[in-house]
Amino acid sequence: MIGGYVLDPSAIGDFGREALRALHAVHELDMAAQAIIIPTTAMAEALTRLETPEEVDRALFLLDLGVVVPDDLTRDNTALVATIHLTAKGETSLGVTHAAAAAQARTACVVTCAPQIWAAAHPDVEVTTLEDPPA
Amino acid sequence: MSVKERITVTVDAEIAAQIKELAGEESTSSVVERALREMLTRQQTARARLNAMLAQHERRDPEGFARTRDDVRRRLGLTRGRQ
Repeated sequence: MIGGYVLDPSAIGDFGREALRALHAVHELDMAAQAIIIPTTAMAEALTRLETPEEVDRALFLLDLGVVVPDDLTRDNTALVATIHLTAKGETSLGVTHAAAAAQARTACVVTCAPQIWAAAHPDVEVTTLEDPPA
Repeated sequence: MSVKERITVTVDAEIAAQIKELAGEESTSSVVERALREMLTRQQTARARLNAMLAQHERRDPEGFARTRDDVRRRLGLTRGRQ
């Protein structure tokens, strides 16, 4: 059983850019009363890639939604994040690794817009990819 | 005047001490209620903002909106629980 959905930096960034697929994903998870887990390092990483204050503000307001559970980097999970980072099979980042650790700890599914990173670096993590459907 | 209901909450001792300090002459219930009201308002505002963004997209492109929504639902494998 899935214990929620973890947004990775690409999905958070997509929300910040107001991509419809990301807006729908958050709305649908909210309506289905599914926990949306946001690793704080994934949020920070997403913010560094956004280009305008409006995009940053939009990404940050995710944290105000009642269905969102922030996952902080703490004494309890730092070793797991570091281990996952060191054992990654391809290029990864701290935000992605923190998302992988949060998914592992909570038996949750990662939501991403960058599936190639997950396939290369963390192939054993369950991911759901957000893509624009064909017209 | 609104009807009050007694509930029991358990918090860390450190938080309890901070709430009591913050309350001063005021009751701790008032402080906790105000904090919860602020949190609920923030959550309601966030949901309203998300709904407004979605509505804007839907007005712009109703077909694309529905197509993307259905695709996302399918990908996430969701059964909607709250409307």
